[in-house]
Amino acid sequence: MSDYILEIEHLTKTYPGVTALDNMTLKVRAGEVHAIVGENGAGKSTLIKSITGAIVPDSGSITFDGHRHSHMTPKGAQDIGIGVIYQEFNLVPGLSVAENIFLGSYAKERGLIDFKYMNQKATEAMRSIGVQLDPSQSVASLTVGHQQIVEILRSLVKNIKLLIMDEPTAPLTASEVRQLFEIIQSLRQRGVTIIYISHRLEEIFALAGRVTIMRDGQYIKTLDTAQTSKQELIRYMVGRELSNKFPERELPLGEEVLRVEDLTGNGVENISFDLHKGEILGFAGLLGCGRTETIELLYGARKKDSGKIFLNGKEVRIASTSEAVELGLGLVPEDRKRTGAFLYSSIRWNISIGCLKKKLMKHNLIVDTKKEQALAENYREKLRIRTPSLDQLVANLSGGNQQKVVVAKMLAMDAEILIFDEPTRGIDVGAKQEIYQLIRNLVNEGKSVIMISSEMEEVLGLSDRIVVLHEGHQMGILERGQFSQERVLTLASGVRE
Amino acid sequence: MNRFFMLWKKFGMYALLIILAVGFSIASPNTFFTTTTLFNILKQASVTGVLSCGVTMMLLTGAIDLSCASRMAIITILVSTMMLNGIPIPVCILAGIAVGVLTGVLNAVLSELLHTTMFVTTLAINYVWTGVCYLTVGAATIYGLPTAFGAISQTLVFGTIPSIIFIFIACAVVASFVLGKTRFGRHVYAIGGNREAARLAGINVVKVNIMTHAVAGVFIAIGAIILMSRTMVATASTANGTYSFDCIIGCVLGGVLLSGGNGKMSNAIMGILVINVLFNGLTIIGVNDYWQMVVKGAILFLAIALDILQTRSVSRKKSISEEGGKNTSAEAV
Repeated sequence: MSDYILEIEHLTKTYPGVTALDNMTLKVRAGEVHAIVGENGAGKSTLIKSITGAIVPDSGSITFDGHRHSHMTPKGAQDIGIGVIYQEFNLVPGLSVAENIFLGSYAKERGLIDFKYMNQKATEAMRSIGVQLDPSQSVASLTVGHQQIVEILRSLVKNIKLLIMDEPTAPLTASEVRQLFEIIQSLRQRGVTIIYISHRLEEIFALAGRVTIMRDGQYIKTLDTAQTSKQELIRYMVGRELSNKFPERELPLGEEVLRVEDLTGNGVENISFDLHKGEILGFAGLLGCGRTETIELLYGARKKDSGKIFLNGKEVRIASTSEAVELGLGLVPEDRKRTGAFLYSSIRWNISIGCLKKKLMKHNLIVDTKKEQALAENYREKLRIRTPSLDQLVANLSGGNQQKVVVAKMLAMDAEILIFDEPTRGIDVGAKQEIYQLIRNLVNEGKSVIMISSEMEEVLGLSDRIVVLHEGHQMGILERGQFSQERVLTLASGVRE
Repeated sequence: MNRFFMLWKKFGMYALLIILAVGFSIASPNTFFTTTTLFNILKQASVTGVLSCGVTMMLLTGAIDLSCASRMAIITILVSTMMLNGIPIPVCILAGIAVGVLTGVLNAVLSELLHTTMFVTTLAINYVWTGVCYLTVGAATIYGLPTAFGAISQTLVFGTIPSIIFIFIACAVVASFVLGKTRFGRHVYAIGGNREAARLAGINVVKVNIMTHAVAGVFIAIGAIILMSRTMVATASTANGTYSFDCIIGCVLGGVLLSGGNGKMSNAIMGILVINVLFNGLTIIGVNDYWQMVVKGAILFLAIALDILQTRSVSRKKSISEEGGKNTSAEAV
């Protein structure tokens, strides 16, 4: 038997239009803490899902503990000793700690659940990793850190050999992180192998023996943490060829239209930036860094604790989304299906819903459907929304066309400052290009754009400047001349230059 | 399947109405197909019909209001007591409408403040108003209302058509105008279809929600008033009526989605008519009341099943064409 507990070879998984895993290789030694790093979209989640059986890869093999599998099943992976802690917990809030730990495999005595035995077993398991929780306490009353421990215990009592942790420290406080690290150490002493995924590089150096870097679904390199540095990791994580062509700026920047000073609240602190007429200001950062949260404060969708917002040099109060719209802000939200589009209404209806009062009323009473039709027709042509009819339900459109409808809705509201939150998420390559061109056209017309994106290419290719955030803090603003994937990722990882 | 739903949505109620009319005419050739029966059905449909104008608006925002009956009872008791004390009828009616509006606003404000669904709020409120009704008048029946008040619903226009039918038609026309043509109507659909998207589009969703329940309150008040004008009595037991459910059954059968955001006023009215034709017909051919209850339940079930299948057929089609996009976005997370 080799000294590798997990060997992944030539694993490939494609989705229409995207290769999520491309001939991926990974070798994990028994008993080590092995970290995996990569940018957003590097394929980490797909890799985990392949190992735990949540998805079936197209080709390649997964060898675990000497047995070779072409793919896993969720039950099969559990049975051979693979456990996973996702960012979202799978706990039943109303049940006790012990009940959650043994969920699905309750100890029974004559058909009745043997609570005493179960609590005792749970306590033993806790002692073995050095934690103390009341086994009969309800999970709902636990802190996030303790809930995570219950998740870990649940895996532990199944005699796992490999535990995969996906960004386990993201929701934890500093002291909870310390406790988690101690637990990880004691798991390792018991011989449990750990795959640890985190974008906090300092944790990786504190915990892991080796680290594998992924990029674009591919294996890049495995390094000993003792012989590498944060800078080296970042260098390997980037280094992607910029393949997309981005339309170039045509006009010089104009005067300042928006200035934000020390915006605080909603999980972010002291965010300050300015935006000029005709500018595209990018917002970069890893997931959970507070980009969307910042925008929500600016747009009046969430309450801010403090901070000032100036429009064209004048301080404004934005306490609600209606006020934001009134002042000429427009938003294309991150999740078009949940918060962007009205899926079961027609395209025309969607485009006009935000601007009825402003320009589509007849005698201030009824909606002027002729004008409405003309307006929608205008945007269909301008944004090239592909549909046989404007009466079509938005639910029946492709992702790219849905996104164009959401953009049209915002444009129809005559916004001057346009905020795009992940404008190209989940749409195909052709539609992406169209959205890029559209954003460029908008700034050429004198609008100003704030664009949040997790796609490095997009941010680097389109932005005039980039605000980089890390865990709710602003790490810096990069000027176009200073752009590089490496610099953005360094700041986004919380490393000051 | 999708095509079937499209046709059903457009013409289903009309088809059902014709099938029922033909069926009952054959089953009971001498009684069913007469103008008397027609006016009887319309008369009976009037109260739920007018109420449904409000109920449809509330359903469109995604709100299921269980407090209609008790609010009607409150209104009838108040209006009748005022009339018996010699207050002019128009003033009494306006007071009744005001109570309808205020109780609706109260429901909406409570729901907004507590972030609960209207279902929960009105479930509780319904008991409160029912209790208040019995506390004020007990088991007594208030009668002896002015004949002029009865004339509101009982006058025969053109010598044959009861005026209550015109009130019903007027309400239906106004309600479909408000929902179909005005900005407020669009906003009602918007907050029911996707409240968060509506909010991000700059719509003041709280205001629209409260306004919806205020406007719906007007129709509930009118419904209560014409009910009393027809029966010429007011009792607390109105609060125990099944008005809330009867309206919801008709509206959902007429294609108003329980989840909100989708449905047409005209179809909801057709749904109410279908229900009334059905039960009128069943009575004429001699089906007993308890069996009619069973039928009513089955219809509600059928309507909800259709409602769910309909939503699902759209979303299923969607998930197939969008699978790629969905998965890539999952990966990006």
